[in-house]
Amino acid sequence: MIGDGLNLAGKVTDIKPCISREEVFRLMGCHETCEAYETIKELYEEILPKAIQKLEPAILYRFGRIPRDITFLQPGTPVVYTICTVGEKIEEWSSRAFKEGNPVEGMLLSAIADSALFHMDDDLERILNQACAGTSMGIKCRMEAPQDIPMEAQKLIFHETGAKEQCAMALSEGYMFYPVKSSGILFLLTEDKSKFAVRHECRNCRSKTCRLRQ
Amino acid sequence: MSVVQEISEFLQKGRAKNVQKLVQQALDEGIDPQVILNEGLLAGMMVVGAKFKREEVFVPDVLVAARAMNMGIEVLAPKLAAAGNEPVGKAVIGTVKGDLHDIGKNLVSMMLKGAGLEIYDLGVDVEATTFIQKAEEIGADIICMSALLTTTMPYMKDVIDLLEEKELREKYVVMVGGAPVTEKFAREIGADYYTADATSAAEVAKSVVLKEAS
Repeated sequence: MIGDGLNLAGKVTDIKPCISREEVFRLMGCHETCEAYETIKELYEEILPKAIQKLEPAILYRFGRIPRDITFLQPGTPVVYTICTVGEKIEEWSSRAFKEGNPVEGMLLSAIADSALFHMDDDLERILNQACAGTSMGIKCRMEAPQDIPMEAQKLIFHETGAKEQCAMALSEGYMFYPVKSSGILFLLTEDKSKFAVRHECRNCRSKTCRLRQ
Repeated sequence: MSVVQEISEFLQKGRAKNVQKLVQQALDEGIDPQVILNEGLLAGMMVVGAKFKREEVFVPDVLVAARAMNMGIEVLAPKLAAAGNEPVGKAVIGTVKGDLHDIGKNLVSMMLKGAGLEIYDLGVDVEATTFIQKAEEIGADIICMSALLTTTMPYMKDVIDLLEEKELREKYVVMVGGAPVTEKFAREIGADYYTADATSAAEVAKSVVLKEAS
């Protein structure tokens, strides 16, 4: 019976950033045939250590039920609200680099932040696995805006996780998180404890132009 | 090969230090700064833009070329200012209110600079009044708006409506772009131009200001 454990919540910051060079280069559309490949490779090696220092990864989660006033999901549905973020420092650096006339650095930093954010899926999986272990719940499916749920869902996730209070995050009028390099994911819970559908499934994703699509 | 042609060649290869050195050499040889800008830096950037459009080079190649151009302009800027040279046109650019995406907007901004326009980048989450105030303040020719979300793209119409309300609509060319934006949407909201990529945006912007000037 779902019910026990729906008061679980937490903030995890003990996260080691993980970045894949291959992924960063794919995000930038940089492959070995690019004339700029070597230049970008050199710059990547140079800025990576500093970029890692600017990352402030954090994961927020809260188990709960969909409130009564929500229309995009059945009210009362048991869910886990989650937010992953790499913080604002790397985004600020990226924007500054563009402003100062260094788009290569700006783009590299943005891709590094994206890669770090995508890899936080591994940490999220570990955290939810631990959290679910002590309950009678499994994870039925993963939902993200705007593919599976409307952008307005980000407002619900933002409030339910306490992102403002816990991580000084903000939400724009268009329901975007600030820092931008953050993602909000809603997981539907199930009584089937053996089910643990936490990972993003590229084959089910409607974002056909995603550079990380596998 | 003349030094100005060499600037263009090195710029296309993204060799920023060589470009900087050659711009200084050209100045020392007494070449008109406007010639260095138009026939060296901007000509090189236009070649890169055209190759990008034909998919002969990739985003990273454009980025390193833009960095080289910016480094060349750094050397050239005081001389251009001293000679009282005017840019081909002026544009304000920003991501509309509610939207915090800036990479696409930054790429367009970079290509517009490469087309010889003076750009005032208002950043992200930009209010309608800010677009208009800045355009009025600097005597812009073009207002460029970007939106990456279906929830924020309707705000482009708010900016156009405010221009109408203030009886300023005829004064500015309005260009719009961003992933969810289409030609049809641009027409519906009363924008003048929609472009699908940064290179096309630069081509359109340049032709618009040159047409207005003639």
